[in-house]
Amino acid sequence: MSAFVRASASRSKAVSTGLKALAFGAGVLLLASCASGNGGSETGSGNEETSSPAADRPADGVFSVGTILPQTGSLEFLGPPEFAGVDLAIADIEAAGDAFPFSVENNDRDSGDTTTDTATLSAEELIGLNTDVIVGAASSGVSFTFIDAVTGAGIVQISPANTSPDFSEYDDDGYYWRTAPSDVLQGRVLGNLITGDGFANVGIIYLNDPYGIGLTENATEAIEAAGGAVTAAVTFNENETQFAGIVDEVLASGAEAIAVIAFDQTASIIPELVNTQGFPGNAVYFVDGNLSNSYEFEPGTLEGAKGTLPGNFASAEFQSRLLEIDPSLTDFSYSAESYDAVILSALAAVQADDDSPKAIRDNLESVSKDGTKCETFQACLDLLANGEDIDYDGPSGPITFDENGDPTEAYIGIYQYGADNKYTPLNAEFGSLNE
Amino acid sequence: MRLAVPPALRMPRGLTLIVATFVAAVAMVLGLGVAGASATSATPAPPAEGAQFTVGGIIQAGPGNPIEGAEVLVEGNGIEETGVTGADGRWSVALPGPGEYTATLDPDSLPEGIEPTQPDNLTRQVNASTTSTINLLFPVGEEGAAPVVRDEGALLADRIWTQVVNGIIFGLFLALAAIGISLIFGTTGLNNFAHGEMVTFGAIVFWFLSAAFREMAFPLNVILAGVITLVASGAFGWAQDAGIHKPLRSRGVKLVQAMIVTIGLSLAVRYVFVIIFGTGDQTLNVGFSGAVDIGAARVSWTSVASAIISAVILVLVGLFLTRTRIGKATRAVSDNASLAAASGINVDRIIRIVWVLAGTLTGLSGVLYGLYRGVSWDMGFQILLLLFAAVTLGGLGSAFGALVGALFIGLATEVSAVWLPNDLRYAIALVILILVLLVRPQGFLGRKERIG
Repeated sequence: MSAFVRASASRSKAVSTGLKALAFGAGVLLLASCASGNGGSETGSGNEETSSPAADRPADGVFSVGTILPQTGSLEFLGPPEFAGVDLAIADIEAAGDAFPFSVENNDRDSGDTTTDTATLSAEELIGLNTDVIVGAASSGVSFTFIDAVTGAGIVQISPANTSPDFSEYDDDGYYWRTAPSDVLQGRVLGNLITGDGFANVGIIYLNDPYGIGLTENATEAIEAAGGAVTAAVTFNENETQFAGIVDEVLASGAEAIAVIAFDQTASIIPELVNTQGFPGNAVYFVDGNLSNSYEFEPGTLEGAKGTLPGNFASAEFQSRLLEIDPSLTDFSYSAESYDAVILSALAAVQADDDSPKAIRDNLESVSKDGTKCETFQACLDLLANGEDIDYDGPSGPITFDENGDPTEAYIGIYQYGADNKYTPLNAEFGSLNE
Repeated sequence: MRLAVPPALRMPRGLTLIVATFVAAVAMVLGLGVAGASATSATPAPPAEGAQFTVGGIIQAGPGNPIEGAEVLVEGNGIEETGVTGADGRWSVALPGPGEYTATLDPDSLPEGIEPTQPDNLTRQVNASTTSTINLLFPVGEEGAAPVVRDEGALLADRIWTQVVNGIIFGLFLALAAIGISLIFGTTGLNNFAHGEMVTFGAIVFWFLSAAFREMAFPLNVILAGVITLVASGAFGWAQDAGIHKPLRSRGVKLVQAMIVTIGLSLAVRYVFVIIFGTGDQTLNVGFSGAVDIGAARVSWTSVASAIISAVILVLVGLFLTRTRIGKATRAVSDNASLAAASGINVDRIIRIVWVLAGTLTGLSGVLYGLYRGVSWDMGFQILLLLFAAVTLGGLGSAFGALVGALFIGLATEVSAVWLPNDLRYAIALVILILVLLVRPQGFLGRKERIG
């Protein structure tokens, strides 16, 4: 039946299945939201509960996904694997055929970066398109620019890559979720990694922003719990240019290992630290903000250095499926998290038998935990059809949401640099935020 | 892209020339070839299913000296197990599940001559909940080994000395970049806000060239890239005067308006850099490394060489200004342009020479500064304020003043970081600037302006 075919090209297929009235309603909503900016519309139709103060969006029979992921800007390199993850999930949902009771729609939009307002415009547009679930953004900073508009409009937002701890307690009426674990976990794994290599005196050079501070606090906690000490934690501002003094301060503190928690400033820190001061490269630790293959250091500079990156290693099978979607992929960061974001919301809609954002919001936590485990969309659908409670475990890991919309269990990948300054996987650490 | 448009310029020809300058700058950079770096990615295997909690660690008496046979007793949650270190000093105990445990090092299990560094602190609380592997540290060392005492006084002295050396190197970079501002202000009275972009221009051109010449041997690639960069930088300076400032001057545009034009140019050029270069930091690696100890300070040869080049060039500029005909003419224009013109000096030609010289020197400073800290699209703009501070502190329009001011700023920022948080050090330099100007408004070496 044509209704189950992806309808991103036009809405005519949906209309042809007898949803004319709702489509008309959607048009009205579109006009209304165009006129009122990011405000939600109160003219909900259908059999929705109307208890929530936020505008309840109607179930329209179209499971509509929108993405706000980087096509331009400083995180552009993260975009392709994330888009491919979403596209693969859409393909899997469509492949389920009649078992998935809604038609599927996907709209890709750009997130830009924090220096542009691209993401806000994309969010407005997707809200106007009656999107049920928005996947994005990659950057925590960018997500903060439109989280209020999206969650305020009563649309589910699932980020595949936001790791800032600040989202956990954010006032989002339950509409904000993420499939990447909070940096509380990465910080602890980082601390554990360093002490596990036998380093008792650790220095930290960190970026003075919520990301750097959060990671530093949690790494410090883990190091001290293990019986080690942080000899110096030196902060620098985003636009810092002179790292000689900062590096000297950390070295003077007697640090045996140094964690560098930074973004592209790392390109200035490492030559000073390793090449000039002669600090051993294998006692340097990286995090997801600077674990990169594109450094142009002298060969051998980073040999033996380790780094942490939230998320499981993408399996060879998952990678090859992604490559069918986008043959040009060279990196798979956060692709599994993007895939799982879409699959989880589709399962939530099936469990509720309702594709409205509110129904998806209310069922996301339940499909992620406590029930019969299933690992593919089809398997989970079959279980749901039998009326069973499911616990979806996807390619990104076991995914168990807590009431804040954070995954409470996740893998943190540990990688190690070789003499060519490229990193390869070492092992993955399982972590849980259930205290 | 956000491009700032200079407000209401009523001079179509000037505008055309501004555009022409951009196009020329873009063409120069684009024509130099782009080196693409593609990231490779690995195909890892997913980890084993299920979370098994383990506690473990490594016991070693210093790096590369693992202790074999040390025993750690892990208790709690119904288990009581002993982990014994292997030949690599590693031990681990599997835990039945999440929960609270304690781990205690048995000091008697250590081999002869080895004892815990902290004999009173041999028990660790283990909270198995967050991560599946928990690592513990039990520092041990040679028996009777004197505890490592840190000589705080000597360390502080070393740190101050290191920062003095860093400050002098940074100050010399600033001086080389600032001297162009000083020359241009001296001859034309213009505060050139696009000066930071001249620094970035040199660094970016050099970055593209050094990538293009990667295959060449060490000295040749740097010399070739350096020479082409300097020519391009000089041309960039020439283009700014020929395309923008000469027409503005000949139309009698006031200095404030001309300054606004430079602000607009600064913004526009910076975002052109973003288009061409991107927003990331790139390392300039010319295949030349190594470090040298200057007292307690260890600095890279690149920095030392750059600082020496800066110092030599500054001396040469000083000699040029005081000993050569053109240099003397420059100072004459600087003193009084009308009088200089009346005495037969071609003022426009001198100004043109000054722009080319400023462009070349500033481009060189960009190369050296890029070697020192890496290249980014806004690296020049980031130090623009410090450059103005250096020039003002030394005395506006005085070339030697720029040197003194820049060294002062460099030392103040770096040395103050010994005691103050890093974030504050630039603020300190600017506070000192204000204080000095309150006492000596003309700066260290500036001439006293006659009032009235």
